[in-house]
Amino acid sequence: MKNQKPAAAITDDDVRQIFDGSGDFVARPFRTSGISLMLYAIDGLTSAGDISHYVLKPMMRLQGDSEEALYNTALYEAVYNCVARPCEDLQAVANFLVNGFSVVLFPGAGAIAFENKTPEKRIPSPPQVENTIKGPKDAFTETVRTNTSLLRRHLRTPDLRLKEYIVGQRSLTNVTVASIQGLTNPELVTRVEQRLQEIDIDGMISPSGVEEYLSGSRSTAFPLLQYTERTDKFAQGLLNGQVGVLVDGLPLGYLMPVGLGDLMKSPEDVGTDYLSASCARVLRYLALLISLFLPALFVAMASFYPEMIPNPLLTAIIDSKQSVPFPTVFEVLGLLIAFELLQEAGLSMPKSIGQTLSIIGGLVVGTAAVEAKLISPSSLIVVATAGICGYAIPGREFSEAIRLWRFVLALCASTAGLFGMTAGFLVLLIRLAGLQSFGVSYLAPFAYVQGVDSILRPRLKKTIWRNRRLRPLDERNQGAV
Amino acid sequence: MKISGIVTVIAILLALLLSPFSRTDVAELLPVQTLCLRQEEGQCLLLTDGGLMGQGADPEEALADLQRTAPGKVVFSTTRQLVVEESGSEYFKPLLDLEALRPGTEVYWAHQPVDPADASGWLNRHGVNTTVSRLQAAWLTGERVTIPRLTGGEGRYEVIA
Repeated sequence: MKNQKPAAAITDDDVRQIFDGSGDFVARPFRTSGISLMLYAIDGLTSAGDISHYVLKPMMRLQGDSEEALYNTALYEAVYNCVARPCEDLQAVANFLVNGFSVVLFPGAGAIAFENKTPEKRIPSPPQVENTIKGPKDAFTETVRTNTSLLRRHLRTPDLRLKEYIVGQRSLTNVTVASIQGLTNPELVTRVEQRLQEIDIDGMISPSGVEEYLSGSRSTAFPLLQYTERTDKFAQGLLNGQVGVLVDGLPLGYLMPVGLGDLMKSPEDVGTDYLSASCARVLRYLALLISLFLPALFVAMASFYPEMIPNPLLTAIIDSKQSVPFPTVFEVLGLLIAFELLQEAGLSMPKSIGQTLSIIGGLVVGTAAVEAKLISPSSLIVVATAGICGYAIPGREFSEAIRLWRFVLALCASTAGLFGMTAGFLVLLIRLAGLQSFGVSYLAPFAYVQGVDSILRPRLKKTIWRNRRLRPLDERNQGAV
Repeated sequence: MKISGIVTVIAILLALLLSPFSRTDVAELLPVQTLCLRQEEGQCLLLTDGGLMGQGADPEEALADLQRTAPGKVVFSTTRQLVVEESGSEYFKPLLDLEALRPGTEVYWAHQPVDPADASGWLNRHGVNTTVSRLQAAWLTGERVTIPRLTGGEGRYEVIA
């Protein structure tokens, strides 16, 4: 509900009514020069020491014969606080209070908000998932101001623009759009800002909410924007011409637009020489193909085209399937489901017992199932190999989408062998080709010969041009070689 | 979107129900690696390295008998070696004409009976390039091709070209 009562007309009752009954709402009356004023703050969001020292202490020494005189003196002269902002209306008072400001009400004159945010927040720590050996160890935190400061340490250019928006009617989440003026395509920035302004929801708290609303909520499992917990990767994305979004409360930075080539890149690629990085990337793409196709290929060959399998391997597979009651199709599909269940269980388990239960689930149950002839070792190896290869894919959400399509392709192969698998793959390819992330095609890097740069990491000295598909204003990122 | 979704589901169901693809689980397969062709008591006899046997008046009947009596599905397309014993020489060409064997199947000639299970391991390590496809091409062009002769037994064999 919007409270648009002008600041000059705000009374003490108006402010108290907004936070009626809240145990952490602080209302401190005081007098200065014989005039009664009120100070408000939310305990837990503000630092009581800072308020006392930098706001209350100078405020109690103010000199003036009216509320208006005190207001002007406090705003421009006497109070030491670094940030002091006049409040336009009652809604602004409420917004400032929930954002760690203390507000002093000058009845009849206005209200001033002083920034006194509590220093209690999580300090930057190493990334949890995107670990590198040589890269920086300062990952994003839940506090957007900390994140912007981390970003500024990587990009000290004054052209870095951080525009803030409030999203969510009740959560009032601070969402910051990051771009580099003179580099980032302004149409892209405008598009992102428009999407943010069009969001009309109660709260933007979960990552999926951010991703769905920002990307346009397409019905696809493939991510249309990239998230990272690394500040260097975020900064590099901005330098490449992408637009970044930081959301208060989420220790992540979002980069857009994104394509398949971007999702297959790892931060470790720029931490090593280009030859090693290229080999790692090729291996990653190989892992992607194995993860996607291996179960389907196994089902197709074992059930429809056994003559494709070399004789010794075929004999080994046949021997391993002796006395197993289930056909290969059900074995592979069942193991894929079991693999997913194991992963879901691992996410929900407490860390202290998670590892132990994973070992029990993987080794004991798996071994017991093979010895009991419920599943064959060959099917278990195929599914496990595909699963492990899935974890070699850097982007977690992209990896999850691949897991979903792995299942679909296995189903297609169980129905019509290689023909079914190929048909399923064509559907996937058509789907990917039709996806767009903020106007940039998902498979854009592979549409041209230059797509090889997405697979092999070129030498940094040779990457003179930025990603032209993002249409940056400044296409060149370094001088002539 | 709803109509296209319904149409897609119907198409998938029809594809599943009317699919021409027949599935045979790999566990039921009995792949043949070495096949021996001979004649006994006026009957064509086929023996595999897996211990299977089929007999009939001609190779076609023998193949059908082998398939019928086997405890699974016999796969001939995995056959690597065909050993034609002297007694079964008249069934050689009719067998090839059935096109049950791979074009890359190696062909050997034997004057004495050969145990396919025993010879299979040795033949895998000492292959020759006289294959079914080469012989069929020679017949068409009138070229003269010598089929290597397999001699020996009990794990000790020799191929004489």
